[in-house]
Amino acid sequence: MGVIIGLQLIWAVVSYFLNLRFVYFIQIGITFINLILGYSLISKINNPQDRIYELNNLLFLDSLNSILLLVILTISFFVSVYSVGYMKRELKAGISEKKINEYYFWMNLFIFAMLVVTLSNNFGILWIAIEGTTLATAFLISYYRNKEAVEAGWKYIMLCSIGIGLALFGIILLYYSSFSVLGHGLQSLNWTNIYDVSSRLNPKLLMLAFIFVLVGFGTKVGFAPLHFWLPDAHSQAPTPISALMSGVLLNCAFYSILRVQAIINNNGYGYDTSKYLMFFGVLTVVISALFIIRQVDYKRLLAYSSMEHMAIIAFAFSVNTKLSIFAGVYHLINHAIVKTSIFMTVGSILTSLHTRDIFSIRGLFKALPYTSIALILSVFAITGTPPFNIFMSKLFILISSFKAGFIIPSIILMLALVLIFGGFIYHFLNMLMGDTDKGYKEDLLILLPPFVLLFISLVLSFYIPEKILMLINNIPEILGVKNG
Amino acid sequence: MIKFLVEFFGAMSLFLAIAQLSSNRLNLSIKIYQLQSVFLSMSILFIGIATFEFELYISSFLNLLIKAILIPFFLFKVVEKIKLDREVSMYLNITNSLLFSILIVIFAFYISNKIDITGEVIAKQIFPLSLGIIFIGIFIMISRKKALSQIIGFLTMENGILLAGTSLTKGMPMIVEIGVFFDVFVGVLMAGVLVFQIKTTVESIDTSRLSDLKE
Repeated sequence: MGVIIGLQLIWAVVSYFLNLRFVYFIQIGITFINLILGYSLISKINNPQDRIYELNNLLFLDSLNSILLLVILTISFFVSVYSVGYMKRELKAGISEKKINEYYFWMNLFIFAMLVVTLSNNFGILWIAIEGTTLATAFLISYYRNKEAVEAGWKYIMLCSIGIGLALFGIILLYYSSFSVLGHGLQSLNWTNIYDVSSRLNPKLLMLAFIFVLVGFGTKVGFAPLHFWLPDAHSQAPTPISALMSGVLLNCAFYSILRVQAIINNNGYGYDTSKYLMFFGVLTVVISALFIIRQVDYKRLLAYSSMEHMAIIAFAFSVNTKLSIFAGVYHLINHAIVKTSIFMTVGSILTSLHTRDIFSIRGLFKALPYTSIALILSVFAITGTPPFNIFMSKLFILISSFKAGFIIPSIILMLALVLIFGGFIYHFLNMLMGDTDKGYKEDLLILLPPFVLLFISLVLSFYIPEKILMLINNIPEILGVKNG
Repeated sequence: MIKFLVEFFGAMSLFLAIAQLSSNRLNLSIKIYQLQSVFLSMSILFIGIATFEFELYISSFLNLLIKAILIPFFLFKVVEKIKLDREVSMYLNITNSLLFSILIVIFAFYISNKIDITGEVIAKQIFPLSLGIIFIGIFIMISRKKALSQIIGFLTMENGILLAGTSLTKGMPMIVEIGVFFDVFVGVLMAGVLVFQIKTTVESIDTSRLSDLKE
């Protein structure tokens, strides 16, 4: 684990100074090496109780974060491949080489911070790393330095700082409840230590800590009404970064909430945490559905769609049965893959047409034929149409919630999903159909990653690799599931 | 006696947070923040003396160095470079903000009565005080228009969190505390750079003019 994190950090610094020609390829190499290292680490984990420690117990790996680690490393590999094509186009459009070095520097720091969030055993370090992701992406969001980008960057840094400040307060409360049992020092903030003694902690204090952490990190996940930074940030950042933020960063923030929830569920204090998660989940899906219908900017539309999917994942975890948690993790993986692919195809449109306005784009099938095929497939995949994997995970989530007796929330969720489907089809078909006399060149390097990701998405709906299936099946026990 | 001093400096921090609401100049706001950080360091120092925790001395010193010297110095630089519009503009005027702050403080005391703080806590009254500072910090962030005032609101909130942390738990572990200081410092530097970017693109640091991104 230390090797992966260290490699990423060193490369982040080096990439700032190296000539761009080398940066493009070493970036792909480094992320690929990390992917292999990550996979070899994960292969050591078999049971829910298995934990690998490193660096004086500060880093650890169990079934829950190995899934997230795999997602981060896979997505960052694909984004690295995609960045080559994307940044070459930006170079042609008149962005200086220095700026692109800057882009690689911040992106690698961003990936580094997310890896630390995932692998950290210590809540203090986890908090520092999440704030690190905010700082690393702030300049990426204001990357194009126009009025809108600066506005998005400012909103992002301010709103997320408030949120993260509240989360820090939650973590202080957690520390306060744990240090009466574990004593003063770094070990009382270690998740594994707190988890093992969780039945002896003060439940009221834990609940209070959870609420602060939920609201705080919930700001980063994009739960409504705390989501205002999210559509701005996702629409203004360079497209590869939007993909990374949607596919991985939101999951990292949600993962931090899950860790605290696991402690409380293990504490045996009932399952009050689920109520709050379900409230935020349903509210966010409804609000994002309303905004998706009346959207005029396709990148903003996708940002709202990310909110929707994170809310569905939160809903799945709030149902808290074995099936629903399986479906939630499955959905998390699926969403990361499909959302990255759709952002990548949209990036191909943006770099060719230089507009984000849905209604000024017509006839994409003629102008950009291959991009359009990727786009229409991605749209079907993201809205949960069979045979893509998101259909499967959404189906599992709804079945599990009906089974657990949450009838009204599930019906609200289904209605919102129908609205979102309609919104997506209406907006994107509007862009694809029609006539145009323009034609643009399409890049292989830009289109290859989304097609590969779509293929993975298709495969994942029929076949989940045994290793990953086993890891997912371990997670309910770690999170302290309600009934078998 | 030491308990009295801890609470006294904590209360002074809250007082300065309220005073922050009544300042109408950016320079004055930064000075108030500077003074608040000094009081906060004193409070942490006395908690350290009361509990014999060596780490708290370091924490107090770092707090003084970063928040009372480095950050204000940087913010003064920013104000100097921006030159025009130095006054604070707000959505809610000073009188109403002060009246609202009374409600905030009462609310902070009310909810901390609900939580029974047990165990070895040096000064129980510090907890509601720090909650008050946190809420006032958030209130400053939402009621002020200028980008710099919002940064100061965030810093005020962060001071409150630090005070709550040290009073409840005798300070977070050293590595974590240094990390938090580092993040706050870098965050302020980056926010400062963003202020310049806002200034060059919008020609003002009034965030109510940042209204292009809407539905």
